[in-house]
Amino acid sequence: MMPAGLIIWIWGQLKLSQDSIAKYLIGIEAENAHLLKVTILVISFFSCLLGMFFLVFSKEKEEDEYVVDLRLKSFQLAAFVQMTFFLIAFIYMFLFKKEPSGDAGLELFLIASIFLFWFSYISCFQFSIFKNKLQANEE
Amino acid sequence: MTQQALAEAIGVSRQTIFAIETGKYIPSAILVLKLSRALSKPVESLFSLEKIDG
Repeated sequence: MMPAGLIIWIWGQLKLSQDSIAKYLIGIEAENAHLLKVTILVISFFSCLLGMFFLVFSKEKEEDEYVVDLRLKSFQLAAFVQMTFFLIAFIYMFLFKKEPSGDAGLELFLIASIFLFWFSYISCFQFSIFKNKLQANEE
Repeated sequence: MTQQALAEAIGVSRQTIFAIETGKYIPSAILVLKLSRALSKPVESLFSLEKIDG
């Protein structure tokens, strides 16, 4: 669910346009084509987010206090990563980038910051669990 | 007593026992008391303060 949603969302952002929809769905009005594009993007984005939440909030096989501690540390790291990204991206966008096409950049930046938090949390948590498991099995 | 047997006795995973042994994780007071009960040893013989703890 998560990879599929992400792939469709990226594909939609890059390739999907009103013209391409009109090419495949002959006779569709321009307004409806735009609506269809937005619907596809929203559904794919939220399915990706939902899939990620299944990963994030699923319990480990043995959920003890060490795992809870690792979760807390990963949350902290993810928060720092997102904060750094927020600051750097804001400074970059408002000082160096002139947006001719409205606020598309801002929208993308906000979506990226949502993804970044959960991605960094889940990767940090899984990495520390995996590393500890590997070391424990080596012993 | 193996790590696995100890882990089962106090209700945690083997990885947690490994993390405690290597000093990567400082367990809570409840877990320390459970450990001392499972090993039938006083807490002071299992854990001690280090220099950096002051």
